[in-house]
Amino acid sequence: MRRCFQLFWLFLANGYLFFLKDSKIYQGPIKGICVPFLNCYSCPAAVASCPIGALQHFLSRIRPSLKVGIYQFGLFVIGGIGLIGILVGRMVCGWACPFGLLQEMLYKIPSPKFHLPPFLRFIKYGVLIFFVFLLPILIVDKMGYGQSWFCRYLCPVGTLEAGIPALFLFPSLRRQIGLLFFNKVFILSVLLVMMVLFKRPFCRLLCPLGAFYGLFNHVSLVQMEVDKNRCTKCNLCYEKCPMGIKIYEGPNQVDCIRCLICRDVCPFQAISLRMSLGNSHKGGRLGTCRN
Amino acid sequence: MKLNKIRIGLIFFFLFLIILGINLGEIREIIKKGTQICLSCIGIR
Repeated sequence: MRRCFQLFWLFLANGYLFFLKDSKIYQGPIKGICVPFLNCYSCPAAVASCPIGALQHFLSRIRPSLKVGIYQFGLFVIGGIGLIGILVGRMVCGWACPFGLLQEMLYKIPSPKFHLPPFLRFIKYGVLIFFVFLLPILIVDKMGYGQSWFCRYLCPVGTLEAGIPALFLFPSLRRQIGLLFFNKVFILSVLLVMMVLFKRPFCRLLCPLGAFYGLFNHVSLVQMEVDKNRCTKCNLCYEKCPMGIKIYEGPNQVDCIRCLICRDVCPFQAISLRMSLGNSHKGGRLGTCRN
Repeated sequence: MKLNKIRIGLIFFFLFLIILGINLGEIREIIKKGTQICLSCIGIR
């Protein structure tokens, strides 16, 4: 069921296949909408925009825009991802993100598996604060324009979906690649290897959008719930969790992507998903059907 | 009940931001940005 959703979103966000015929990226009005996950809008097949890319674009041009009386701060993007955050929290990461799907697929490759040290998860908050918000605003050129720091220096999704395909699609670009491109290919390569060895390394270490959504996990309408009377802390959920968290230590902790694998593997049916617009004793339970 | 109010407040706040962003012409700007390949964004140069 979850795989179907992930594939649906993958093809919905990257459904423009005419690029194969006319060698152009999609240029229609749907590009004005941001998908709720990382999906590079320079990808030849992308039909919508990336929220993190769009946000950085607005922040990097705040100073020159204000000088000419244009008041655009990325409110549309912040409002959009904030609304999704308050509705479902980080559920998007588990049910929609194509890069999350890739990470789960690569982790299935048989190999020795390792655990990531928990403190490393704080890196993504640094990425969100510095690379997405502060650096595009603070470090500017003579004209007052900043850069999209996350896209330019870090984002492996952009390299995979846009950078590498663009080299095949537009051969003239091959002459322009330099150190920056090799840096990004190196980051992507390291992450691809890590995806085989670790569970969802990009989501847990670097993803700024996941960091943002995770902040809403405690207050979102969709809530995870663990019945402490039924839970025996057998750790079956921990072993299967793609984010490597112990849900019984806190059902709505910031790294939970609400993929519901824990609910499905729990032999005691101690874990459930609840839709709530009230206190913890109200609201209907969701996802009790295990099909 | 307090959490309920926070949730509803946040939902309306973010809806307000979306509407404000649309009125400020942000969708047009995203289309403008998104319909061209950004070479520096994808790390080509």
